[in-house]
Amino acid sequence: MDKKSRIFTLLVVILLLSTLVNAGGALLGIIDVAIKEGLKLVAKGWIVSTGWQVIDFYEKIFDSFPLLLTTNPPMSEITSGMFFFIKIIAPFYILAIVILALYILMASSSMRGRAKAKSMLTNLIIGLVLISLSPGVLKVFFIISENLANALISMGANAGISALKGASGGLYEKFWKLTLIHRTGGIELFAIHTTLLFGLTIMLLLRHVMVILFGMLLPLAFFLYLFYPTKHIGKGLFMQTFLWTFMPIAWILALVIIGTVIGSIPSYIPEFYILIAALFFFIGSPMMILGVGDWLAFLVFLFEVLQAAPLSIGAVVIDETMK
Amino acid sequence: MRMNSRIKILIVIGLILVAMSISTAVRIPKIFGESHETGFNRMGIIIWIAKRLLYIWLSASYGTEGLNELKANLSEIVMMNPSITTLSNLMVIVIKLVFALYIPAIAFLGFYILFLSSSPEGRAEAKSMLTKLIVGLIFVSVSPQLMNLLLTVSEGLTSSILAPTAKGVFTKAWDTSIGATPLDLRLELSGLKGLHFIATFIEIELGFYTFLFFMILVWGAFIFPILIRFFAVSVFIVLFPLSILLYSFEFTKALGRTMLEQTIIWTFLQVINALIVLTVVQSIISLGEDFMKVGWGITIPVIPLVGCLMFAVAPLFIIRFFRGFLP
Amino acid sequence: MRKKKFMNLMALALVIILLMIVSAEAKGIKLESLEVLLESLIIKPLIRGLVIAAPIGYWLAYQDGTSFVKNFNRVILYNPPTEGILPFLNILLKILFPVYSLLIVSIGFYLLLYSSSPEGRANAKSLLSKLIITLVLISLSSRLIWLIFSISGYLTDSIFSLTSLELIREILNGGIWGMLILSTWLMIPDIELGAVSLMLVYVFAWLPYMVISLRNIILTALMILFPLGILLYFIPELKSIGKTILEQFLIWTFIQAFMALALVSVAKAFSVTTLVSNPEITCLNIFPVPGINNMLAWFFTSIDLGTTNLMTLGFGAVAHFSIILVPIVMVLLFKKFLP
Repeated sequence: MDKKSRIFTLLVVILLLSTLVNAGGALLGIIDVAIKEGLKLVAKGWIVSTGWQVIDFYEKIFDSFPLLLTTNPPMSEITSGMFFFIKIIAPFYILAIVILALYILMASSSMRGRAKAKSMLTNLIIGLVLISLSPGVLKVFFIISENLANALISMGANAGISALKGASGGLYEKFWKLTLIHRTGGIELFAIHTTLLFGLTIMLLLRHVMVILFGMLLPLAFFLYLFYPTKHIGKGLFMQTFLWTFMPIAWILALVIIGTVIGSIPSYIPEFYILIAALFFFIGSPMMILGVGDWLAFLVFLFEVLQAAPLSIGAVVIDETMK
Repeated sequence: MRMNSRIKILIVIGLILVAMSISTAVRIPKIFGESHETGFNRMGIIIWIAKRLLYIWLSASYGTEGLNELKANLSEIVMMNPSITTLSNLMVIVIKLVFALYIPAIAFLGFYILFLSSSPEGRAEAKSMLTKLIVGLIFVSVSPQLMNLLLTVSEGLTSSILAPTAKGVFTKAWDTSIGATPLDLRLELSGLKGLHFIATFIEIELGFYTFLFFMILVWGAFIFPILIRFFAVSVFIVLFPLSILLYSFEFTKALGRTMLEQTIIWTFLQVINALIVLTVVQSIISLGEDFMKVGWGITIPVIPLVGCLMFAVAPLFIIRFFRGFLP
Repeated sequence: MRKKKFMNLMALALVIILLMIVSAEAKGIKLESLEVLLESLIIKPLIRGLVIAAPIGYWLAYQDGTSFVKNFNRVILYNPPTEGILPFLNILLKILFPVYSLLIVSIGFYLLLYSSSPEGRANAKSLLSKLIITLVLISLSSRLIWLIFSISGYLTDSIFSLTSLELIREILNGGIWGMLILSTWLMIPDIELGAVSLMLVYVFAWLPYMVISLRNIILTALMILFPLGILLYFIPELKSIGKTILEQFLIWTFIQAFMALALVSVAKAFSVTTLVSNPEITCLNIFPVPGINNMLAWFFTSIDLGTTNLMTLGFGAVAHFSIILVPIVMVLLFKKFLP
């Protein structure tokens, strides 16, 4: 439109509006209400678009799923910590070996005492070998877990990941439909949705942290396993390392099963339920398969803590004119 | 350059607008007190009511999505089990993996017994271990059929419990507890929907919390006892050979035992679902539907509501309850 | 082209609205809805954004909101002073000394004069040694506690040297600021969108302190009970109670080493993990209208203010949560390890 025609349309509009205004208050009132509802719709659209931006932001973790589930932290980071613990354990170790040796040489009273001390000494020497090999042991765990994960992912985990994305999309759809009716209509749904996605992010990142933590403690685990009173602690620490390293296998297995089985569910069950069940199943699968990592309880606890906020705001804030 | 000047114009207009609205804002208290042309007021109220009704309709439809299917196909839904044929590819892969682990173990043990056996105790121990491993190997090689058997047994038990049950009473329980509102073209206000109706008119956020009731009831009824069980049973069917392998070795026996227990519990959850349906039906029949009613003006019958809630939530507790029953 | 058309349309719409307002004012009709709504769309969101960002940001930046972030190594290294135990210790010793001395003397008499059977003598000898050890250990208990505390402190300090403290500080800082930024941008359209994230800001600011204070309180109580624990350990019937007290004391002391280890692990994980897509939350997420985007970009591109990305947010949250989780895991794992 060139300038002339633009000015012309402007004048026409002004003329129309002035006649409108002079025509009477009622028509203006109706236009008023229409514009008011339109502006409220714009505000709700703003809420929905902001919500979508944040949900999209959280959903980007799904792109990193294959990477986070199949890779383990590089050994170089963990070995420094392992050597630190080996350096701490070494003096105790040497002390124990020296005491035992002295005991065998000098205070050997009975045959049984000597035999026991000898077996203890062999135990200690085997332990020494194991402790100095602990980086190798961890590396073996990592190699097995990574290869298994890679093999499993190629069997159809992508269908599972798209099921999870579908669950998130289904929740978002309900959110925007409810919000367009009334601006506080879908807020709690948004809170549930973002807590779930945030919880997923934390789960995946926390696993890496725990692998590093328990990897560094592995020499300590071997050391504690050798002495009878602390044997169960050593075993517990070792099992924790094993479980946190292999937790992605449970997750990937859950994804593969979701992808394989989701087609055979009868079609009269609404799809949204199937996807949400898939999401809960994914979160709860380490607990079911490995018996560890009660993420569902953690998420429920997190949600209970966090949803106190919207509840209190909703009760306290007196709605302003935008009802 | 044209871009810049247009933006400048926009900024100027925007500033004027803001200045005007600030000047009006100072006068807001007066505005609230005044009355307007009657047309405007009526329209505002109509829009207010229409919004709330739309919200009630939409959230109730979200809350009761799939309820009609649940009522119509209750037995099929409760007896839903994964088919072994869909999972057969995965099972084959796991069986091959487990074989690959078993064969060296058995070979090593055989070698040990034949050539390296020192003491009689050592030989006896190795022999019992060998028998355990061979039995495990047999189980692994027939695991698809074994799992089929397990599923058939569970389905048989479930159908024998469900068939003589008056399922109509259970579906009626859903109807009674969910209730109806004028939006369903009926002239009544009852049940959870009635509560939701009134709550939304008080305040829409309150309406959202009553919507959460639906969520737990209907979504929960679908998701926990049925759909998650479906996925869990699939996983444990596929992992069955691995759990037998882990159960045979002392070192990993605890993990194997957990997995086997989970397999059995999740499969027989079907039977427990059927039992819950039976219990609810019997208690409704014996106690009568008007046993306890709660409400101020809206009555929500408690027994049907609790029955539906149990169907949704009880499996979660049952899972925690059965632990450590295998040797 | 589309942009220009859109700008044209917006200009036209604004002019129309302006004319409506002017004509309504001229006629004396109050168009209350229009103006009040406009200000709800423009002024109230701005006020909301400022009201959330300014006080809480000030609290985080200049007051003690980020005090855990700034002082985490000192706070984790803190152990209760061992002088607090002394009054209770004195009372215990006052009761114990006479009784035990009497017992020791009587056993001594028994050994010297009533020497009956070798078993009896061996029993009496072991009992004597137990009594003497108990007395010695209890009178030394404050020194003993000091020794255990300094071992734990030294261990924690050397664990912290495994990675740079600045990295941990940066991660923790990024977490709490990222949550504030996210909640500010969320609260601008509607205040309840950001309620959950705002809650997390407070959780991050306070929860580590709560956990560490819990540890200190429990540790103080166990410190007072420590001599009692030694006493009970050497009495055969009540050995399990004494064992529990001593074990819990050791576990809760060394939790500080595990907290330090958790933070170090988070720092290491942060430096090696890269996400496939690392999206950002900035003001541009909140104002999706193209025209306004350009306007705001003027203000915000030069200042690196108000942006956060998924990795900072995620790892910051993991760092804060791991401080709570690791003690729980350790308390559950380490049980009954004394002979």
